Amino acid sequence: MSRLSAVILSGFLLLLPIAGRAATETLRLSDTAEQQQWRPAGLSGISYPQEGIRIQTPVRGTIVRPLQPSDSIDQLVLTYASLRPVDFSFAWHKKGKNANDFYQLPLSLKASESLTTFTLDLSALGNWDGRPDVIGFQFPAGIDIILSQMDLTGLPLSQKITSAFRCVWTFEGFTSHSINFFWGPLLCYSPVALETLFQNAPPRAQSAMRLIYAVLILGAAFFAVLWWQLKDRSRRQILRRFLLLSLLLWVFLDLRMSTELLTGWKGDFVMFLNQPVGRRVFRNLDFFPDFTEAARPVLVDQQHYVLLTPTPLLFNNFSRYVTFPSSPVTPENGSGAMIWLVYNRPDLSISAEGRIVRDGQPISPPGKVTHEFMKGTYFFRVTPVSTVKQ
Amino acid sequence: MILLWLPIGLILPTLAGWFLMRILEGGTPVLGMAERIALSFLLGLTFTIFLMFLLQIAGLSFFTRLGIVSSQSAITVVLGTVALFLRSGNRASAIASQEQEEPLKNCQFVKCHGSILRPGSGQARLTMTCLRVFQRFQENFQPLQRKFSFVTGFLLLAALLTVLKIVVGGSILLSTPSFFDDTLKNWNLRGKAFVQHQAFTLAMDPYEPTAVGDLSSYPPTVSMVKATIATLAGEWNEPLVNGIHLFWFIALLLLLYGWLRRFASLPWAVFGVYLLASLPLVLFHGVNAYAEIFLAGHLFASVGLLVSGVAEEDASRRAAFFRLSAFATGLLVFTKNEALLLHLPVISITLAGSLWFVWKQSRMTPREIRNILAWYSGFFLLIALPWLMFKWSHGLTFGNAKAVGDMAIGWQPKAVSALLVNTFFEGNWHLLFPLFFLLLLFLRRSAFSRPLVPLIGFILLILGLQTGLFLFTSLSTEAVMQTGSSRGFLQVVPLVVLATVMLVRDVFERNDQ
Repeated sequence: MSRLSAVILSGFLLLLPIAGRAATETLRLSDTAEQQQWRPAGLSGISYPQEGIRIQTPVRGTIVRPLQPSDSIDQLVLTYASLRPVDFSFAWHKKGKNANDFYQLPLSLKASESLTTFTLDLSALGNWDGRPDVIGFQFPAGIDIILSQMDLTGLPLSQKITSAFRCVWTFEGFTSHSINFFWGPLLCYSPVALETLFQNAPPRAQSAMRLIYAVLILGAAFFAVLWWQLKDRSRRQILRRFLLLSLLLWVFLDLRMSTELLTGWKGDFVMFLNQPVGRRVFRNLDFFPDFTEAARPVLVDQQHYVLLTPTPLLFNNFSRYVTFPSSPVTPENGSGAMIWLVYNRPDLSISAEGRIVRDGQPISPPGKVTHEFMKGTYFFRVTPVSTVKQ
Repeated sequence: MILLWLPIGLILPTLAGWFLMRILEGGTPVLGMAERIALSFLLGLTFTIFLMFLLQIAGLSFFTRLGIVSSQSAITVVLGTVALFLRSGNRASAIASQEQEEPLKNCQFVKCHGSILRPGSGQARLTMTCLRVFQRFQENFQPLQRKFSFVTGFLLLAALLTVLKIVVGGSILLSTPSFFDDTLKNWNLRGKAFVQHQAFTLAMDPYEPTAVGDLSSYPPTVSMVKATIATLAGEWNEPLVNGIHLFWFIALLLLLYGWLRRFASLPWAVFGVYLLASLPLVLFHGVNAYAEIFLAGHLFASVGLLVSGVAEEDASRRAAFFRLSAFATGLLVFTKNEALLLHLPVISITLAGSLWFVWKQSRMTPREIRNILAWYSGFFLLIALPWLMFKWSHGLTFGNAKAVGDMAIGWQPKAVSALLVNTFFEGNWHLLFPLFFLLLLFLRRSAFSRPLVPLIGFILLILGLQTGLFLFTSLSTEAVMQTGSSRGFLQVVPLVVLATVMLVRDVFERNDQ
């Protein structure tokens, strides 16, 4: 066998595990045998309907089961039903650790009357080694949820590498924190992690800088060996090579971050600058810049106005600046304010007597909607007291 | 068209700055062209605004077009007159000596200029200046032209990428609404209030003129610059008032370029500018309406000129560098709050250490040292005293994110990992900090000797102080929430880049073991 053939064959053999398939282990919580595996602690109100295990606990507690995974687990798909949104924790125990030392990851699940799934990427968690010997959940008091099935999946190396590569080149876009920091290149190892990368802050991913540092350290070690073998040992020569390697990595990082910035600016151009007024979207302010611009003429003679937005801080600062000298106030401080600006609040409604209503409670004086942009986004003018009396 | 008001509004302050630079340099010009333009704009604008602030609080000027033009014209004329007066005494001898010191070499396209132009005439001086520029261009680019090396190609590509990013980012800045927090809450809002009141004011709400705004304890410079330009233009216009930040960014890049050119060749200077502009957070601040780059420019001027002064052998040139640095240091007080509380004490320590160092080497007389200290104290008192008196008399807080009196002291463990992640594992600084510290470790001898020792000393002290504040005070929330820590570092990063480039150059250009 020629040397070339040997190299190709070795490479092929080395790549075999990469081409493997995803291995999934399914835990059906509707099966009696599976239900017997689960050990509750501190919980009460556990029942076993047809769909799985139902937890209706008035007290805080945990439910766990032992596990002997045949493959490394990278992803968990939980099938559940809950009438209300629920917050609880996924818990796991690492082999060799103290029996009571559990790691936890907080989860927030949406409400769903029928069975639905929630996918959790575990691959980039700090203390997840892929082979826990116990898994389970910790529930707060007052929860009501049916757990039906858990699919524990180990992803093939090829998919992990592809995901990691794509993760490095996935960008968040400009948000309020971009002026303070950029997450930089990240490493995640599953398509789910990639899809949900920036839904959590900080992202559930590892910094790709650790890879860069690994290359630098390997490079330094290589150059050190080279230095050792050289007859003419010049420390400066070695340092030069190390600096050239650093420059190479710097340029790579520059290209990565430049692409992120240019992509963000392109987004501004496509979504905002290249759209007609009224359809423009600007970063996480969405349609708000055009909304406040339209409000300016209405507010010319108004000292204050009430502003109702989904979250207060960002919109409040922006609105205060754009509509200066008129300033926004909260409904509680809005006594005397004649204009109410309601932005993206479909949860608010107008009562029969013309008041803005939140959770069934009127929060504004009587008035009327003077301009409606879309459901939940409108200008509301309070009816002057003299007019009401007449 | 309204954007034209931006350069128009900068002409008089920059001209005033130009005269100031000439006054401070005295008979020995020490600045290169790039540095002179950048400093004239940067320091001239801040100084003009400071004087306008004094006129405003004295009730002698208002934010009207006439008020601004007349006050700025008066400042420029006075400074111009002083500059001309100071120069007229030794102009002829300076020209003669300059011509003797820098004979034209390798000048191919004009051979008979000396014989037909009267020496000392305006035409002759203009011709000589043009010839020198051409000669320098030849000197710098001829080696590059001879061998279009890998380095040249790399630097050209790097420069192209940098220009592309600045142009695209700048265009977005000039065409989208203000977005980030401090722009909306502080710099632009206060500017709008000045325009609304047609005067400098602490009240943010025109309906409540006695209520002092939350952020009025910040120096008003950035907001006043914006208000000045908007008033000249006759309206508050977002691209117009935000465009000034691009000028500050370019001035910072020019300052770095100018400083490096004093000690290194053109490729190293271009390389340094590339490294700085490639840092994502630096670039992003450069093309957004925040005040960190504005402060970073002043800090760079102050420390950079101080370092140049320490490195200089010629006494009159050294004195000129120190005077310029003293002026930039004084103006620092009028940029942002942290300049007074954080940077100024460290600059004072660096200055004291540098003067001691130079005195121990017998390179300066006690009289020279006394003169330098007098310049620094004088400019500090000239600028800090009125501002601090004003703050004190109006009950404005001292502090940055928190008033000094409200800060709790104690170990803040969460800040450690936050600072480590922010500095080494995010996308803010590439490999700047690990490289800088590694180079310090391996090149201790170069780093802690002339000309770099004051620069390295300043950087280590300021980074140490900032880190200490985040680790031991309630300012740790700024690090843990990542709201202010990287912006604090950002102000010093141009100096870190400067030191790193000088150390890298040392590795590549020195041939010893």
